[in-house]
Amino acid sequence: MMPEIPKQELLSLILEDDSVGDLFRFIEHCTYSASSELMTDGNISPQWIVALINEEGATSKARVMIDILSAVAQASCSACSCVLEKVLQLNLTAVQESYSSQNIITEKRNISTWNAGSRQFANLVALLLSTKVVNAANGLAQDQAYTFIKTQSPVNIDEVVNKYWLEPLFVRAPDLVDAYVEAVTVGKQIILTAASNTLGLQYCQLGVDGLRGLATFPAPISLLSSDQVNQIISFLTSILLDKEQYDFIWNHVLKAFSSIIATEETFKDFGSPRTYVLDEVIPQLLKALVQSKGIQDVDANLQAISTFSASRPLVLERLLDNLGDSISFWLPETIVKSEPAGDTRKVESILRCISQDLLPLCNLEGGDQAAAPKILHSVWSSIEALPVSTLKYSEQIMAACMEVIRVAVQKCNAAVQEDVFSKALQTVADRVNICDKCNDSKAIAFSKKDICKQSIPTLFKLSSCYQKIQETWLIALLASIVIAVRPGLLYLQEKFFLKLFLDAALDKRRSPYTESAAQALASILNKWVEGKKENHLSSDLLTLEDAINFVLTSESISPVKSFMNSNGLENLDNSDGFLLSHKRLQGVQVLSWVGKALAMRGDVQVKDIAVLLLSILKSSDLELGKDPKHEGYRMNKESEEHEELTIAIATAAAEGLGIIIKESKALNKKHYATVRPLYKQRFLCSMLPLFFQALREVGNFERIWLLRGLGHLISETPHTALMSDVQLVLPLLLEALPALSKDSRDMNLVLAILLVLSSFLVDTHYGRNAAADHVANIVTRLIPLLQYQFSMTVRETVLQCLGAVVGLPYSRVYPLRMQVLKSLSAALDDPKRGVRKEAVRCHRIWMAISSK
Amino acid sequence: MASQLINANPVVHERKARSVRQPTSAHDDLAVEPIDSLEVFDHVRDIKDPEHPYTLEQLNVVSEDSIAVDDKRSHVLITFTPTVEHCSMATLIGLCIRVKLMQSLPPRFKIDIKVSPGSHASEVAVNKQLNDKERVAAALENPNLSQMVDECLASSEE
Repeated sequence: MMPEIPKQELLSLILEDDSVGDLFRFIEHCTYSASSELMTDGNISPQWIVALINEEGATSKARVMIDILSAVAQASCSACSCVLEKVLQLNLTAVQESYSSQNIITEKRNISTWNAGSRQFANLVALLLSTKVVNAANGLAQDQAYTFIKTQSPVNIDEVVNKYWLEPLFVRAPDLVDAYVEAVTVGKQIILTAASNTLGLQYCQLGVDGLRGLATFPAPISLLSSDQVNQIISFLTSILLDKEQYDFIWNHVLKAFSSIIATEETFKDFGSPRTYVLDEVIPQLLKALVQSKGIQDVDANLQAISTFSASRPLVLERLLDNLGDSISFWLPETIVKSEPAGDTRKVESILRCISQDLLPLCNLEGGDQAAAPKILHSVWSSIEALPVSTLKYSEQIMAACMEVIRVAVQKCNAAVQEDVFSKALQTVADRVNICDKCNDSKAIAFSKKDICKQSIPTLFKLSSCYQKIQETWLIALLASIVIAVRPGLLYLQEKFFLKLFLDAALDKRRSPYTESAAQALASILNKWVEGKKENHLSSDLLTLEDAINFVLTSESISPVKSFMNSNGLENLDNSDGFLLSHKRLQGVQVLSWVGKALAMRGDVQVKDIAVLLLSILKSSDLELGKDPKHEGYRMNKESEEHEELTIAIATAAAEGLGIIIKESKALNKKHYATVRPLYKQRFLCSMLPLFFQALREVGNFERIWLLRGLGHLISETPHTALMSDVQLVLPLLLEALPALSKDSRDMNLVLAILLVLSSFLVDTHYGRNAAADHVANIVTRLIPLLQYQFSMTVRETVLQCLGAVVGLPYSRVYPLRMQVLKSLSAALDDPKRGVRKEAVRCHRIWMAISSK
Repeated sequence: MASQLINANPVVHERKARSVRQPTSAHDDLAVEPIDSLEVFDHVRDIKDPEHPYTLEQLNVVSEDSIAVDDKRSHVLITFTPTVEHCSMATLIGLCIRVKLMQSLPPRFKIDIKVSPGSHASEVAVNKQLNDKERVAAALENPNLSQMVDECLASSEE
């Protein structure tokens, strides 16, 4: 027997109030009395309706009544039952009437201004009221179920198990589902006929909100049948799979699905668990992904996949499984296409989604720990299946594969990482064995046991022919594994691997492959473990110092050193020709990454590498952007190429200082790198005296290069580390600004320096104190940058810095006021609107000084 | 005796949502974005009324449709509508609009400010006063007026 619902006096007072009665009369009969002040007078615009629905400053009494009723519904089970009974009795009739498209469209001329007494407005209010009350009931149901699960309290067992208070809702559930579906359909038609985008969107959003409210009732409490829930899920899925048609509501539907999945996850252990999304939506989504042709459809499906994976581990596991199979199917074909096409872009997007959105969600200790090895297996199997002949490979797909491999290996445990590495070595060996120039035709089979006990070169038998590995991309894929493995793979600490990755990094053409090889070399050095293991018999096992010397004195890197010991660029040995000079450029990049590895580890030899890079900058007397046809330059193509290469080397050295200190995707704690605390601060402290000394010794052109290097170094240093040296650094930054503003290639560096300057200007402790001594210098350097022609972001940042200068001491700032206001009048006429807006703000700040 | 408000019960209108511009040219550094009526309206919409705690937009004194901008000819014409016909604050409101635009637009712009035709009893006189350079300069030298203008503009810049 159903327990009697107690009628509380307060509840009666609310439900029988005149204002509530006015609201219901309006919805039912479209009439209201002027004295009720229920609606505003006159016509109602779509903007007003949007404000009513979204609570943006709406002053309508109707909205207040709706909010009160939904708050009452969420207060207790008995109150909810009363409110549902009253509201749903009235609304259903109103909702079903005149929701037909015909009624709306024939009156489309009047939609822009509705009279408050119109039926359409009454229906919209009815829809809003029912949605709010349904969602309020849903919120209460979730609270009751959650409390019951956690506490097993006998107090609310009736509310949860008997569910009597939700009877009015579930009796009307089929009609409600139809009404909300119809609301979305009507809203879409309103938008398509261009009657009113605003109104159509509100219909659609309210419809989706209502369906979400019905579908997210917890399984223990919900009285909706499976068919009813399936109907809701199917309708929402049809919208999800057709973003082109439903673009205006797509994100809203995605959020609705997130709520549904979250509810399934929360109540999965209670009663009969629901897996509608897993069983119904995911298969359709994957099928749509396979069949989709346009990149927008692919991106939409992948966005949905990422959102679903984040909400439920079970979904993540299923998706990774299926995507792994799809990758095995598509990858062999698309990877050999050198030109981008529709399907290569699709595969690239899927690989990026796996590496950036899905794999990072995998938990090493959780149930999804098998997912990463499976993906690795799928990708690597496709690589193994590739033909050996010298075909061009898609660089985009290869880069995406490298990222997937790196992230997946990082998610594996130590045993799996070793297995993966040995399998990768086997692949490389197999490809070399069937190389035409290789005399040894015996197949070499690896096992983990072999790798541990014997020397790799012996096993590999590559001492004479490993140089013939022309496929740098293959070494780069191997490098992706090396970057992500844990420290302790001692066979990596052999000359063979150092030379393997060093030669790949020094390949003639700079590419993602060479950078990956350089990062692998750096990773090996960073994770170096000193001391021999008992079962490792290799005589090629080195100490860290030996390894570093091996790299620095290698055939490829040593010309960099000799270049710096010589007297500048004129003595650059060009007898080896173009190839050796490009190797020097790559050599600088390798040095930068090796320096980063050593800096992170806290090894003192990082200073040697930093000095090498600094010496390159000191020797660079070429100006960026200078026309080689000017007087004093030889006018032939060879010397132009020579000078361009020299500039590239110097630029690489300047950027190298930034590489040592900045955050990296490859060398970080996630990839088990050794990171000593405060290594950035230590490196900066060691470099600053060297920079000051160098700046004292050099001429103007070399000075610019040193300032570039300093700019790269400082822009990547953490703010807190800079504060202790702000007095020393600030004058150099101010000198760098005009020097670097002449060439467009320094655009990003100028912006980075301005951001550092702005951090000084807003820092209330050290930054402002230091800046107070340089106010005039700061303003003088910033004003010319208001006309910086290469980037509007730089001009905006300059204006923000000028605005921050006002915070410095008044006596230093006020004398500069007229100079700044005069320059700002030009900024007010900037061709870009964003810059003008900042100029107005800055002008107002400087004008306000006079009132002090 | 306390001074009485000129318009004790103004009609307050809903603020229009900020229009979202097409972002395409913001990423193209070479594309020129000319000054248009929406940009000028964004400068003046939040100026506070001297009497009431509402903005000129909320009181429907200014609207985007009442602004005409010609960037190539460097000309702006704003037409504002006082809330009542005998509003003595009309000149002050017009002065606030002029000062705000002088601070926000490049110096090359000629700014004309007028009351809407038929919306004020002394329409001609007010228009003449608002567009006379010497009278505007003299008004701004009056410390009381200048302070009132600053108050109207300061609250718009918060």
